[in-house]
Formats: sequence, structure tokens, C-alpha cells
Amino acid sequence: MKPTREIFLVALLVGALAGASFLAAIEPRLGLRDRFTEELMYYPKGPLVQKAALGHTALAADFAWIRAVQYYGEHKRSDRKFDMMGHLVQIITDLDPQFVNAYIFGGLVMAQDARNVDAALALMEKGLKNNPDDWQMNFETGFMYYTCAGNYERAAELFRRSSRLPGASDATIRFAAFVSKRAGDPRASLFLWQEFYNRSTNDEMKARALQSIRRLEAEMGRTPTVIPDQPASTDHGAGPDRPHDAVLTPGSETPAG
Amino acid sequence: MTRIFAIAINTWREAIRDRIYLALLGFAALLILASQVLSPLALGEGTRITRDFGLSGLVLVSLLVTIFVGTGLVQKEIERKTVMTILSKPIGRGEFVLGKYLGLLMTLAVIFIAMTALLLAVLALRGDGFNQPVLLAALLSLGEIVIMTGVAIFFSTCTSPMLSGMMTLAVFVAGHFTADLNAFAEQAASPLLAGLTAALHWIFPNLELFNARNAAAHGVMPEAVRFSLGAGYALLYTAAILLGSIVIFRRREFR
Repeated sequence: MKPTREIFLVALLVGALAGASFLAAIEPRLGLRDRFTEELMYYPKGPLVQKAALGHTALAADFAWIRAVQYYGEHKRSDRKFDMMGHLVQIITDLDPQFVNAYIFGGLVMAQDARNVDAALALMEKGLKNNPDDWQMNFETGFMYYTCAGNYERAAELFRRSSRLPGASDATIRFAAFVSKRAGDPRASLFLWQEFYNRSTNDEMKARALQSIRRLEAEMGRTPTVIPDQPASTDHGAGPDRPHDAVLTPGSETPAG
Repeated sequence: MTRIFAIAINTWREAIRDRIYLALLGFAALLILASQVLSPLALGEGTRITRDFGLSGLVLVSLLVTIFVGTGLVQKEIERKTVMTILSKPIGRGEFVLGKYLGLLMTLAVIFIAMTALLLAVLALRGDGFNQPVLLAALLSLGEIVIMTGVAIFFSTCTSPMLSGMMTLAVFVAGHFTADLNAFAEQAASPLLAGLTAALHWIFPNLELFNARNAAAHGVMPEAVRFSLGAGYALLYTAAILLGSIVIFRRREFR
């Protein structure tokens, strides 16, 4: 091939690519139909994708997850409508029922951004059913019941369950104790604050827990719990040198659950 | 055994020089590195994406090598007439088929080792440490690769490379639906249909037996019994399919 002809062909190629790129760049400004939503409407349901994935369901879930994150970002910056979020998250969680972060992210978006609390709670309950021993799943579901649905009994139950699971953060007991009182169960609240006090090694947290214990005991008309004395200190004062050296004896009554 | 290994090493040498093989090897590395490009888009699930890309890529790239390189292994020798030169030597047809199989397996072993090492290295760099579940899931996937290699050689002995590739792919797909075939057989109204689907259930390889990818994605170790069961199944199924290949190849006439 002659060099001039080759240069001409390369120039044509570059021109064609530049033209195509220009058209692709102006497409968003033309106000065409929301291709994201349209495209997502044709996404098949989870069980179908599961079969089509030929054993690579975790990878398929990852692709759906990336799609969901992009969908959220696009709509957060534009119309703030998240109609297809539920559909996307259902696909992800059908493909990988143990994908806890998908339930939590999807639930939060549906509850707070899409304002569809019922669908969000249904999703979280699905996550709970598939991951009953995951402390984070229990905690986040409880948090959603507390903040979005105002269902303090269910929230307290989930916070209590969460606090007993392996790896649970100390915050779970604090939440359980606080919400138990809001749910009208001060006995459970007192028990949980005492448990938190005994478990915590953070002086400030222990001091706050003790405050809550004293307040509850006063409200319930109980004798204040005694903190055992520690070995002699130079202050000659009663009480331990450091709060976290003391252990409270929990009350004789323990709440159910 | 020496003759089988001689054919195996020759097959391996030929395969690794194939441009398609080199391209697929590069693609395999690119796949794992591409997962790092997607990681920032995954909202904190970058390590999970890396694991899934790596484990699935391992099987899919091996399948591509099997289809593009393996399915034409025997047929190419027949078309080039080089098979007559080989078989005129004191080499049995069975030894020839076994040598081809081992050679292809060695070719795939290079990809397997390279991809697994790269995946573990990337995961370690991401702070995941030495990921035992991922390594074990990769080792379990080896069973799937061993079986599919046997399937490719089987089709390679009896049909053209294109048909061989399509049928190998079809067996791969069917191998992931054997549980559904079994369920269908149990629920089928007609005894004939039930018998047919049950037969298909036993004929197609149960590739889901070697799937521990989902568990590895969540840091769960595959069960120990799955390894012994998988090893036994892969060995027996591959032996059966290679015997079939040898039977077919022994009856072939070359002109």
C-alpha cells in the first residue's frame, strides 16, 4: 500500500473515532430518555441470572453491585429518584444471599432516599433471614426499625440479639439498653447497662453507663447497686481507683430475651 | 510412560508457542488487574471484587484455552498428516491420546499457577493477607479444569475443531445444570422423559461439585470432604472420558 493512501486511511479512522466520541459526548445534553432506568427494567430477576451465571454467581453479584452503586450516584446527582434500586438490590441478594453490605446499602437508600420504608424493612428482614448470625445485619435492621419505623420493641430485640453475636461492637449493648427503655422495658435497659458497664474497659463509657444505671434505679425506686471497694488508695476515698477495675453485680431479675 | 511424557512435553511446547495461548495468558493477568480499576467503583467492596474476578477468571480463562487450543489438538495432527508419522513409531494410539491430554493439562497448569499466584499477591497487597479460602477454592476449581480438558480431548478425537469447541462449551454449560436435570427427572410425568433426563444427569459432569467460589468470597473454607469427593470424581470421570477417547481414536482410519 502507498504511504499516502495509508496516511489517508489512518486520518479517516481518527476522524471517524473523533466524530463518534463527539456524538457520545453530546448525548447526555440532549435530554433523551433515562437510559439507565430503561436498561434496568430489562434486567432479569435474580433466579434467572443465577442460572445464567453458570456457577459464577458471586461475580455476577459483583457486577450488579457496581451497577447499583453507579445507579445511586447518577440519580443522587440528578433527579433523586431511585425507583429501580429495589430491583437491583433484589438481584444482588438473590445471587449472593450473604452479601450483607448490599442489604444495608440498599435498605438505607430505599428508606432515606427513596422514602420507601416498607420495602427497605422487607429487604432488611430478607437479609436477616439469610444472615441470622451476622451482628451487623441485626444491628442495622434494628437501627432502621428505630429511626425509620419507630418500632422500638423490634429495634430493642434486634439490638439485644446483635450484642450477643460474635464480633459485635460495644455500641450494640448501648443501643439495646437505650432503646429498651424507649420501648417501655426499663428492667431490660437496666440489665443491659449493667452488662455494658461490666464489659467495657473505657473509663468514660463506664462513667456514662453508671449515670444511666443510677437514673434508671432512681426511676424504678431500686436501691443503688454497690460498687465493691478496691485495695487502699492514697485518697482514702471509697470506690475504685479506676472505674474499669470495678464490677457491678447485676440485679437478680433478668429480662426475658 | 516415557512415550506418553514425550508426547506431553511436545504438546506443551507447541501449545505455549500458540499466539492464542499467549494472548489468553495476557488476558488472564489483565483480568485480575482490571478488577483493581473497578475497585474504586465498588463502594468499599474492592477486595471482594478482586477475589471474585480472580477465581471466576481462573476457570473461564482455562475454559477458553481448552476450547481454543485443546479442541484442535488431535484434529490438527490428523489434518497435517503428522499423526501418521507419530503412529508409525512404536507409540500406541492410547499413549498418543494420553500424551495429548497431559500436554494440554500442563499448559493449563501454567495459567493456573500464574493466575493463582497473581491473585494471592494482589489480595495480599490489598491487606487481605494470605487468603487460604481463596487458595483452596482455586485448588478445587482444578477439578473442573481437569474434567473439561478431558472433554476437549474427547471431542478433538472425533470431530472438527469448531464443532469440538462448541460441544465442549455445551458440556460446560450442561455441567452446571446437572442438579436441575436431576430435579426434572424426579418430577417428569413420562417415565421415558424421566429416564432420559436421569441418564443425562449422570452423563454430564457435575461441575458444581468443584464450586467453592461463593464461600471463598465470604472467607469461608471449603469442606474437607468436598476435596476428597471432588478428587475421586474428577479422576474417575476423566478416566472414563479418556477411555472413550482412546476407543474412538483406535477405530479411526487415517488416509
